[in-house]
Amino acid sequence: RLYAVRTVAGRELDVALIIEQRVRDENIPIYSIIVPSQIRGYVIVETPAAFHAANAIQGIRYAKGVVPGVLRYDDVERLLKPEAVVETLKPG
Amino acid sequence: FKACRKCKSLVPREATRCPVCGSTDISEDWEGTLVVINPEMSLIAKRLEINRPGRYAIKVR
Ligand SMILES: [Zn+2]
Repeated sequence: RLYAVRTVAGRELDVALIIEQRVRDENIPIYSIIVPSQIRGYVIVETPAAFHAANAIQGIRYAKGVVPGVLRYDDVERLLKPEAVVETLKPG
Repeated sequence: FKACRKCKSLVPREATRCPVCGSTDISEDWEGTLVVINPEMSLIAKRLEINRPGRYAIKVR
């Protein structure tokens, strides 16, 4: 499942790298992290459940919370294509 | 970070050669990041046919 995490704009990559470190240190089941260039202030986390994402961002100053609802794989995959058009992500 | 034009891996700023594929074709102009931690479990990695963990640029110019 894919969940969006809100971050301070401009700190998306910092948040992703801290999450990456924690996932390795604490064995959290997060499989990938996406920092989309088209959407500021969000990173996307691939994990079986939202609470793992909430766990991973706990105490990170630049992370502001997990957005309720899952994102569609097709929508997120579009963000990963270099020629992607800008679109809004709709949770649910 | 900079990004390898060949395999899209992010490489350290000071690197002149990609530690993953060995290419020296490295760009400072890149956008977006995909961090693959567990390629076996990641559906995103499967869809993009990425089978090794790493940090990748989404777009490299
Ligand atoms: Zn490379």
